Amino acid sequence: MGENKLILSLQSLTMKFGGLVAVRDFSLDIGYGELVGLIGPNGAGKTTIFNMITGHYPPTAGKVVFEGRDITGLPPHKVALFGISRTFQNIRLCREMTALENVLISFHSRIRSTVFDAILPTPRYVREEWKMRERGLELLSAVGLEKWANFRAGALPYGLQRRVEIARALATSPKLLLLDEPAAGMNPAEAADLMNFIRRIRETFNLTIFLIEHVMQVVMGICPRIRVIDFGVSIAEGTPDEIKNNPKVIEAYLGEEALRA
Amino acid sequence: MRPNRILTFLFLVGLAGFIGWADGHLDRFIWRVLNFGAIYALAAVGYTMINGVTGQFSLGPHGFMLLGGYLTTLFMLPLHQKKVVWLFTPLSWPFNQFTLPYSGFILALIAGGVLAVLASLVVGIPALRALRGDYLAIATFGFGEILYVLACNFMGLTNGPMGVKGIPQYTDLKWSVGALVVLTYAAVRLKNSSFGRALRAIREDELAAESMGINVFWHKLLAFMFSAFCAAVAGGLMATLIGTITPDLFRFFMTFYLLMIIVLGGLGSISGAVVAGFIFAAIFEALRFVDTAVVPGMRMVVFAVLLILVMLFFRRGLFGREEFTWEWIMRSLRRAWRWAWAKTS
Repeated sequence: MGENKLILSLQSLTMKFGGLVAVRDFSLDIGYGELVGLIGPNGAGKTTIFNMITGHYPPTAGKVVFEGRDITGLPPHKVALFGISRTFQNIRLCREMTALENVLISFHSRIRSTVFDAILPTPRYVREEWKMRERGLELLSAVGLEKWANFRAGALPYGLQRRVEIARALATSPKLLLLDEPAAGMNPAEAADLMNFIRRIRETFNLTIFLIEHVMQVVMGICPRIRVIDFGVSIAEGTPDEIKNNPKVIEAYLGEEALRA
Repeated sequence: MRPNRILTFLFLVGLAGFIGWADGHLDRFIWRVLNFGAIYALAAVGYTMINGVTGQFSLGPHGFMLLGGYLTTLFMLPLHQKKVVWLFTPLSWPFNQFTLPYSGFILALIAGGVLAVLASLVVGIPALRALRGDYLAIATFGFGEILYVLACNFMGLTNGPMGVKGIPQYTDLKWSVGALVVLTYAAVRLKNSSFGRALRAIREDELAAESMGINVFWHKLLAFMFSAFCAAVAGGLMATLIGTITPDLFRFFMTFYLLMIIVLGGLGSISGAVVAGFIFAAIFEALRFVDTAVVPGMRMVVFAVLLILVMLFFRRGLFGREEFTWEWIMRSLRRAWRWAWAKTS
């Protein structure tokens, strides 16, 4: 794979919190259009890696290179503008706002109107607001949520909230989507449903997806390439079959129970 | 949307008619209460933008009111009065050189607002970048106290604790309600715009907002500047309503009043802040007898008890986060009509 085909390159990322090393020397290259899974036991440092990519934590050492540009340590809102968007492990919607409004806040950073345009309001702002709403509704129907557009996000059932969160992430027009345990708290049927959904939006929106998952079955089903970390260190990488049979992974991740089975 | 616009237009025409009549004919006491109500409401509209809509707990509006009050005073006080007031320490240049006529009143108010916006940048850029919650409250509170001490000691600008008297009493309902209408319109537009959505998103989940590309710091600063501007205009109007100004007029109790108003109105509700501002001014005057009948200062005790009761039984205030809209009035009227109909038949 040539250098120019890489969308994201993580180079020896290390994150220390005081004396605790949450992530040590983590490197990973992701090519355009890939769907890569990151798995590991609880507390292995998966979310920390996401937070380093999105700028919520400036890494102690190492580099984050996105589309050939070094974005290490940039604040989160700038990273988002470069084309990286994310969802959160524990859904973080603006619960008091409607599903549509949640999507609309993602368009905000790209509007051209100034505050004064919005207050007056000038025709330029009115046009932009109208266009945003139209695009927001379009996006919601693309993910099958048009019925719920004017419902309060906090009042929606859990599975739909997750979809609104993904729709909100898509509204920033990302090139790379980071999904942090999208199937957390879902039963197997819901999780399978969600995975189909992720596969579908990946094709529709031409996305590269990097996803964290805790439930092995879920990530095995959709990720052709999987990286495994434990205690902040990479321990394996490969196809689902390779990972499944890797003794290190079985020992560290699946535990003794799996060895017995 | 059409019928709403017509209703709003009719309401504004009616309001203008009432003000035109009231400024000349209304009972002076009620007139004064209405003026105070409009001024409190104006400061509260700004305050609820930062505290309610954006969810950043500021305790500094009395500082911004002080800036607006003093700058408006310095612009509007007649030159002969300036000579009389600044007897011991001469008034600093350039304020000893000029005074504005009545036609410059609006300029003086806006200048106060601009000064407060600049001050809000000075305190907001470090405080809003680094602090949130209790720490932000303490930092902004400190800012207000610093301004109080400065006002007491910069004799050449403020005449210190002795204050300034003889300020031309230009404020009438035309000015106070006019400023309230204009800035409330701006606040409603801001809250309902894309910028307002960003502010509400920051209140709901700051981490999510910044992950979606919103420059959280800049938007907090925007709300803070808006609140400073409103507070300063309110301060300027108050000084020119009362006719005297002392540093004590804008101590922390002023922020405490405003806090009561925006909590009573429902945090984040602009129409709630307006309605509660007038209610506050009315109760404040109605309770004047308590001060004379019991002990001076008893009014504040009553208010504190009221605030506790509001917190216990009306935690979301009069309006919650909802706004007072024509649709809301129509719904309520229809409900009342149906209720009355059911009663009679």
